[in-house]
Amino acid sequence: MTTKLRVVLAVIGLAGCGHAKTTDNAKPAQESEAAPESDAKAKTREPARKRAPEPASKPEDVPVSTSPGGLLAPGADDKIRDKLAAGGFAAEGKSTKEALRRFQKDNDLPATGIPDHETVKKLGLDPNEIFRAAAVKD
Amino acid sequence: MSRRGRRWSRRLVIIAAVLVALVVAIRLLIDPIATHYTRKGLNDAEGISGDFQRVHVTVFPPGYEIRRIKVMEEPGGSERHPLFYAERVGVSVDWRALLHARLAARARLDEPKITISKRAEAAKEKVKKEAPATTPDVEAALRKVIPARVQRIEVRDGEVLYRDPTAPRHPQIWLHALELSAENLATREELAGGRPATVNASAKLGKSGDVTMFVSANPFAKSLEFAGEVSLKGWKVAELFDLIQPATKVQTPEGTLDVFVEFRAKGGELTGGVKPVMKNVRVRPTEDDFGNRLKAWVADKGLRLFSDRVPDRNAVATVVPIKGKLTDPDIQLWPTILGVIRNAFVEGISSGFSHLPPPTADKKEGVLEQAKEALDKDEGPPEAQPTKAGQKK
Repeated sequence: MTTKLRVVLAVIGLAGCGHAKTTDNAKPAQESEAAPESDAKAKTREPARKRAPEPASKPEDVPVSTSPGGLLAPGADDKIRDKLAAGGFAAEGKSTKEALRRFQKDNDLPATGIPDHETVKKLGLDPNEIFRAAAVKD
Repeated sequence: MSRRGRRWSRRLVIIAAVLVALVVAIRLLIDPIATHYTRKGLNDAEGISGDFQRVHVTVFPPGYEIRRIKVMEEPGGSERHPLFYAERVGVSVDWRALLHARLAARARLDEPKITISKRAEAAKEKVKKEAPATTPDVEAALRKVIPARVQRIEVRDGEVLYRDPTAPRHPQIWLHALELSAENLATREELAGGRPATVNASAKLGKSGDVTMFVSANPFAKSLEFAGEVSLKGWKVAELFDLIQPATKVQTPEGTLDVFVEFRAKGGELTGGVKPVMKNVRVRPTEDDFGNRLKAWVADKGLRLFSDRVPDRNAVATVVPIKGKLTDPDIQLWPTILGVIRNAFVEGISSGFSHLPPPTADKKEGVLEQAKEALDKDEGPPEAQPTKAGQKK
């Protein structure tokens, strides 16, 4: 009975592996490269993963960036520009940096020309939408 | 109103009067107490002495403010050039965070001024010997501090003055009109919310240079991780007179300097590049002997030879790769020189952060190989050389 159960589990495990190999083409290359283990190992690992669920995932930190733009969420630039234009700070031929500086000066903020949380809040935007947030690991 | 009711109302009036008296007493005493402890702290601190005009403490919201604080180095400091001066320093605590047993603070410094004086050689050697040669473990240092998050530090109209009293003309580098904001500085990883700490700044260098700076850092990474960029635009090189003249006996009366720096530190390794762009720079002798005139002529012709010869610009630029350990950064010579030549003759000069940081060669190359690639139009800019054979970062 026990031997039969093992065989069934092994077959399910193998079928699961095969299925993963055929459908997971969209996964990052490093994941497929990082799995050169033998089928036997994979066979034993798969049921074990099912038995013991992984602990709650830790959010992945926002990586450091060389430029301020690297910490902004997609489309955040446009939202900032629109708000500056609506407030009459974005003059023709002037850069966003210059417009931000004018806005910061008018609002008693350090005139750095770089968007920070306080500037974004004063612009009437939600910093959680403007800046990249920590992502939960899959 | 009944007798009982009158008694209760009298009691309430007395309690309210006592509370008001208590608040007034605290209000009257709290500033002198804070002043006493601030003065004691300054007097007891090692290596410094200090003074201030007044201290003011607020209870709601909880806050502390000090006016006209002056900190002098001891021994050898002077009142005229204090190590630190600020018109006003204010710190406030977020009381809503306190209700959740967290300490979250904000600070603002108005017109702070920091003076850094170059030390004499003997003092410098002593500091060098005492300095550790390992990458600082920032996370371990932060763990020793109480759990807190500084949401924001603001600097308004700040100044940093570097002076060298040991050199003949006492040269100075003066950074002023400094506007700075730093955010998300936490002493525990869980308080940082998965976001890096950031520092944004803009300032004026001397009379003419515009400086901007951005740095992001994750002090909780396995090894200190930070990245950023600094740019300096339109600095008139004539302002370098006091720095250049005593050592070289030449001066640069005309022209401007732009500098773009990009850097990234990860796993104890520092990578990045520095890109100086000189425009219309002329070199002239300051002393009228043949040696100096020859030196100035060679420098001037060199700048003209390697410039892009665009009228009214005549720019000379290069990319200086920075590569190495955090404790021992290596600024590479050959890619720098070849970068000047390539920019002048092959590619043309571009101001800004293009080509920063420079790419790194797969394996270490000889000078001739580097030169061949640098002068080939189809190749990219000169590559940084790996720090160890076969090591590419």
